[in-house]
Parts: sequence; C-alpha cells; structure tokens
Amino acid sequence: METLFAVIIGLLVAAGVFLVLSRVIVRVVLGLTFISYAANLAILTVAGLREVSPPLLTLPGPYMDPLPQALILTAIVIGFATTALLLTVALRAYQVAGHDDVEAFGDNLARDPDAHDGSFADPEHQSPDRPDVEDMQDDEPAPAPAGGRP
Amino acid sequence: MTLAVFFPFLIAALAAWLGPRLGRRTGYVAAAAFLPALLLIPELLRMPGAVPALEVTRWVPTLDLNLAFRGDGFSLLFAALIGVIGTLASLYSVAYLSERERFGRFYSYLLCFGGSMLGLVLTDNLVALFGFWEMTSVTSFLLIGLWHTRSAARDGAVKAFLVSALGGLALLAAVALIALGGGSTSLSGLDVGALRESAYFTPALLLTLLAAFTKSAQLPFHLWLPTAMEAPTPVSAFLHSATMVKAGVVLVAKFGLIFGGAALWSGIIVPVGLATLVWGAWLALRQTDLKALLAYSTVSQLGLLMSLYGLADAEGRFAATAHLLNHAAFKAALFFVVGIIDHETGTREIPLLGGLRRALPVTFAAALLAAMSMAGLPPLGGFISKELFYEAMLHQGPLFLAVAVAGSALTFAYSFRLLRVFLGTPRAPAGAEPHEAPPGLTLPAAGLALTALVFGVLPGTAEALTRTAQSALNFGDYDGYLSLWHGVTPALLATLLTWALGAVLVWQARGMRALGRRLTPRVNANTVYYGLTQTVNVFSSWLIARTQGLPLPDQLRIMLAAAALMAGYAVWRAPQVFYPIGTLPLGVLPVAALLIAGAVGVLLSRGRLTAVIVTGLTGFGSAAAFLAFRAPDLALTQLLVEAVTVILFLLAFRYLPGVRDLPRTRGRYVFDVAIAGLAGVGITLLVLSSVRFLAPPISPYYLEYSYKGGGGKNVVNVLLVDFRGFDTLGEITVVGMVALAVLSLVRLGKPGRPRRTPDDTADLPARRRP
Repeated sequence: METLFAVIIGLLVAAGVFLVLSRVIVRVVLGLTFISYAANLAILTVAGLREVSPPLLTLPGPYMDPLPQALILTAIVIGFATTALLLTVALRAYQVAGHDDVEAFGDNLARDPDAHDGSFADPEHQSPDRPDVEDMQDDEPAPAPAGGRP
Repeated sequence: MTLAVFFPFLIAALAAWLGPRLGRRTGYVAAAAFLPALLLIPELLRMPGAVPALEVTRWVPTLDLNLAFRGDGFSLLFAALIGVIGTLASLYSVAYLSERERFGRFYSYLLCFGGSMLGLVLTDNLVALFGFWEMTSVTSFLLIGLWHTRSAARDGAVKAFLVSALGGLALLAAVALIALGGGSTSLSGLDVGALRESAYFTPALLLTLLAAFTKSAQLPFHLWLPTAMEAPTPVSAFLHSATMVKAGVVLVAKFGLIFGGAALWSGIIVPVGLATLVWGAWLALRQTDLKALLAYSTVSQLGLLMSLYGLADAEGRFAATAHLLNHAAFKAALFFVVGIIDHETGTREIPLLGGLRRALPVTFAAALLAAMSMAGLPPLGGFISKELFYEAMLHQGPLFLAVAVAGSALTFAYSFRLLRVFLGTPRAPAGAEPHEAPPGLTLPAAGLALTALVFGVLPGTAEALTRTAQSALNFGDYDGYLSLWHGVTPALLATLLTWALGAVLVWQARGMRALGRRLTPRVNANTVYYGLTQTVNVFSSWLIARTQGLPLPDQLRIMLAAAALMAGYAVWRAPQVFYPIGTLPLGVLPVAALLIAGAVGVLLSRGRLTAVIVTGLTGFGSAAAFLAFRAPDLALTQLLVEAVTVILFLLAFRYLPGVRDLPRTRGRYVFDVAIAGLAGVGITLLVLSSVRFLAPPISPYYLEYSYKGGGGKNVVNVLLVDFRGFDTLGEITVVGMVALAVLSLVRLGKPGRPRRTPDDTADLPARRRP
C-alpha cells in the first residue's frame, strides 16, 4: 500500500513540477498546489498506512498515529494560504505586466512578449479589464522604461 | 585582566558618543582606556617568580567556551607593551589629527582594536583566541580605511582584510585541530603529548604557520602591510609597528611551545623569516616615502623576530623577546617622528626634504636615537639584540649568519637613508615652514627614543623585562645576558662586517638605486594579488550577467537540475535504503485512480476552468485518501479548503486571461519532462526510504495524555490546540498575514471592472495582440 502511494506521490510531484516549469502563470500556481497535495500525502504515508482506528478515543484501539495528522492539518491550511497568496501575486503580475507569460517577466515585469517591435507594456497599472485589443491600441504608445532589456 | 581587555571596548562606546562633542580631546579619554592594561605592569614586574594568574568567566560552559585570561610573563609583557604604545598613540593623535577628523569613529575603532589585541595576547582559550584574532582583522580594516573617501585607503583596507582573513580561516581550522588533538580548548590545559601523537599535528602546524605568516606580513604575504600605511600615522604607529602585525609573532612564540619540537616548524619559519628580513630590507631601501620605508622595515624586522622565535629554542626566544622590546621602542618612535615631519612639512617624500635638524632639533634627536637602534649601533638597545640574533644564527650555520648579515647591512643602509632628511642643506616643499612640533607630538617620540637608549646603556632594564617572559616561554635555563660588551666574539666580528657593508651601501647609494631598478621583478606579490582580485571580479560579473535575471522557469530548471544531481548522487551512494513494502488492497484503488486522474487531467486540460476542476479531482482524492486512512479531521478540512480554493480561483479568473498553453521549445519540453520525471521518481524513492520507523513513534504519549492532560477524546484536535498550541497560533498568524497581503495586493491595483460583453467567456483561446 505504501508502495502504491509512493508511486502516486511521485506522479503528483512530477505533474506539479512540469506545471511549475510552464510559461503560463496560472499553471505555475496549479503546479504548486499539486506539490502541496503530494507533500501532505507523503507525510501520511511515511507514518505508515495501517488498518486501525482513527485517533478518536471513543473508538476501541489500536489507533493511527495522530501526530502526522496534526501536522498535515496545519499543512493543508498553510498550503491554502500559499495558493491564495500566489494567485493574488499572479493577478498583480498580470495587471502590471499586461500579460501572463512567466518567461517574459524577466527582471522587468513590464516587458510585452507579444509585441513584435520589442516595445514595452505600460509600466503603470495595466488593467486586464480592458477587454479588447482595440482598446489597447487607442492608448499612447508606452515609453520604454530605462534599464529594461530590449 | 578581564577588565583590561574589556575596558577599551567600554570606552570605545563612550568615545563614539563623546567624539562629536569633545572633538580632539576625546583622545585623553581614549588614553584612559589603557589604564587597566598599564595596571598589569606591577604584576609583570613580579613575574619570573610569580605564578601566572588565571581569570575564568564562564560563557558557554556546555561547549567548553570560557573567557579565560591567563597572565603569564609573556602575555603580561605584551599587554603592557600594548598599553604603553596605545596610550602614547592616543595622546599623540590629539595633537596630530586635524580638527575636522571624525574623532568619535577614529577613537572607537582604535580602542576596539586595542581591546582585541589585549584579548588576543591574554586569552587562554583557543576559540577566544581565534575570535580576538579576527576582531583585530576587522578593526584594522576599519582603521586603515578610516579615510575611506580615498581609493588608496579603501584598497589598502580591503587588501589587509583579505590577506588576514585568509589567515584567520586557517587559524580557525588550526584551532579546531589543536583542540581535537589536544583534548581541550584551553591553551594551558592542552595535552601536548597527545597532540604530537595525533594525525592532526602536521595539518594544524601548517595552518598555524599560514595564519602567522599572513598576519605578520611574511613573504609572500607582505603585500598588505605597506598599503596599510594609508591609515593615519598614530594608527600606523600602534597597529603596524608595535602590536597588530606582531600578532603573528605572538602566535609563533606561544604555539612554538606546542609545535616547536617538529623539524618542520623551524624548517619553514626560519628560512621564511630570514628571506623576509632581507627582501623587506631591500624593498625598504628603495622607498622614497618615509612611511613606506618604515612599513617595509617593519616587514623586515618581523622576519627577524619570526626567524628567532621559529628556532624554538631558549636562545632564540631570549633574543627574540629582547628584540621585541627594542623594536617596539624604536619603531613606534620612528613612526611618531615621521608623523611630525609630515605634520610640519606636508610631505613624506625623502627627495623633497633635507636639513630638517635645524628646524626640528628635538625630533632629530629622537630620530637619531631610534634609527641608530634600528641600525644596530651601540650604545642602543638594537645593537644588543642584534648581537644576540647573530649569536643565534651562528649556531645554525654560516649560511644563516651570512643571510642575517646581509639583512642587517641593508637595515643599516635604510636607517641612514631615513636620517638623510635631517642632514645636508635645508630643503622643504614650497610654502612649508617647518618648526618644532608641539610637545604633544614630540614627547611620545622622545620618550620612546630615550627608552631605546636606556635599553642600550642600562642593559639590565631590558634584561629584567625580557626575563619576565622566561617561565612562559621556557628560556629560564638560558644563561645569556644582555650587555654592550661580550668580548671579541664571532657576533662582534659579524657586526663589524655589517657596518662595513652598510657603509658601502650608503656610499654607493646611487648605484644601488640603479641596481634596484634593474632587479625589479615583473611578477611580485602585488601583481599576483591584483591579478587574482580582478579575475574574480571579471568572472563574477560574467557569471551574474549569465545567471541572474533569467526568466523564472529557467531559474527553476537550474535549481531542480542541481537538486536532481545531488539527489541522484545520494541515491547512487546509498541504494540499499529503499524498501518497497505493503500489499495492494483493492479498496484504495478508486482513491488512487482519482488522484492520478487529477494529475493527468490537469496536464491535458486546455481551458482554465477545466484545469481547476481537474485539480479538484486530486484534492477530493486526497480527502478520500485521508478518509480511507483513518483521518476524518483531515478529510473534512481538505474538503472545505478544496471548495474555498475553487471559489478563489473562480474569483481570480474574473481578472485573469484563459489558461492558454504557451508553447515550449522542443528542447525545453524534453528537458522539463525529464526534470519532472526525475522529481517524481526521486520523491517516490524518498517516501519509500522513509517508510521504516527509525525510532519508536512518540504518538503513544499523545494517545495516553490526550484525555488525561487535554481533556479531549479527538487526539488530533487536542494535539493542535494543546500540545502544539504555538504551532497552531503560528499557522493562524500565517493565514492572517496572507489575508493582509492578498488584500493589499488586490487593493493596490485598479479595482477591476466586470466584463460586460456577454460573449466574453472565460475560456477563450489565448488572447493575442497583433
């Protein structure tokens, strides 16, 4: 049983790592979620998966080890907090950069990867809520911030 | 003694505060910082007979770390030396420094340095010895770089620090090895016999030598000392003539009692010391800057001291200790003299100066005495200690004596060169009208020069001081004595030869300069140093330009590949720890299918909603697994969190574009698959290897005390709120902090407007701008 779960945990981590390495920011967040699932399951697995009672003293023993469960309980909540934070950061990054391509963020978040002429997106707020391409073109061409990569 | 070490640090804090208020008068306060060190003198004078005092302050007893200070003859002698020169340097600097100097900083650095140096010589604990050693490196870095707006000062400070920090690391390793081999971190409690037997002996010896050579500017580490002359002159007098550079000499003297028996010890130190003596003197002769001349002269004299202590016999230690006293007296005096010349004429260049004896008679007298002592002329102290030096080298063999004579002849020549600024026709840079310096400047110089004279005329004084160290350095049975006249000895004949050679060198000064220009080596310690530092600079710029600022995925790839390499190495080294265990029950197969379906599905999904929902499969799969493996609380929490996560994603998707799958290049794709696969396999192996319990689990404790102690029958809950309450508090804090961060991140941006167009669904294909 532990072997099966070890393999599953490996699969989850592999999927998570592959997602983390992808270019789109939402996929990166999802990848981290998968890694945190895998971590939780790993804690449970290494403590031993046995067919005994849950650690509720009203039931007859023997009981499962309660300590890993307490640790996972904390980890689930922290994992959720991490996901929320990352998602918000992704959101802000998208708003500032105007695109969601992690690879193009580089050291200058405001670079526009899709622009053919290598121009820069607006380094100020660029709301994602301008739904259409036409809206964008109405704007003044944004000045290239100094120090950015062309 | 503990007070003597820590009082300067206390006053340093006071001086930092007083500096801007009292200005240069802070120097009087600073001089008082050395009072406890000076109070050690009566104890020193009782010394050859008295028992060394030991003061122990417990610090980290479990690690055998104590602040132990041991006042044996040698330590006290050195502490008194530091106290005297420190006091004089503080007083001298009051008159020397300009009104605009930052006195608070200057004096606090100076006092911290003095305190570290006192700690270094007095400590009995090896770890503390290393600590004080490094503190002298750091404080001297600050002092040399005091005028940090000048690039030469910065360069000198960095150079001094790099070289002595290299030695400091060597000392740390040496101290660790000595403590391991000798079974104690106490210098006096070392089991020297066991250390000699242990395998650590030779490495510790070599590392100690490296430390001593870097600190005391022996070849080829002499490069930092001349550039360290960028420090203000009082500092130079204190650091680089009397104390700091002698830290290496102290180390060799003290550790010579441990390592002295080894042939390697003397076999390395004596040749290196003699080579430094000759080469330093040769370089000193070629300088035109008075202070640079003194710097190289210090290098040379340190070589002499090193070679004598390196002999590790009674004769060498006696001669070295006598010369130590003489050197401290004449070198500090000469530094003060050079400071006066600089102060009065505005230059230190020998060719620009001449005939200063008329304008500066007192200074001239002091300089004459000190320089004669340095040159080894009677009736000064330097003459006597040089005779002892010859005597000791004579017993090593004629070659050693020849090198010693050559070095001393060069010393004779550069001492004269130094005095030339006082002789001949009066000459000074335009605008400078040299006249005698105020007593604040001349008195310290004159006092030290008179000491050099007293050491020569009344050899008994120097002898008594030298003898105080005899029990500490084991030369009590040496029957030599200090005297101006030992009869016609080989040493005296060598001295006469030295004078003749020295006179020839002075006479043929022009020819020597031409020879010196011809003999300048193309590659020297400085070119090597600058070559190395520049290579490091260029390399690091190159590395940073190519590794920093990469896109996030590339940085992650590098990190993960590195982790894969390291973990792969671990697996290769220890493959036997993986135990596949357990049976395959059919009951959990649906759970497994759910988990795997999520992982596979998310990789295949194109739309963002699909991706989130498929992720949910794995989330619910985890919950099911928790339920299957008897963890109902976890399953409940996971379900709730899963629901909230989906809501969170949906909220965010309102403002995020669709999950378009931007293509990776083929090479990256293959690499990413490989990395992900390796990570998966690695984690699988890790889990398998961790399944065995290495120690009995501690959970029976919780099961037993959950109800008794916590009053709850759900052990997990009791664990969270009672046994690990602070963890839970931390968890809540994290969630709270995240909530704040999320709130501020969202509020920072423009409030988003909802999309109005009805056909603008979330899962449009990737939005491309033309």
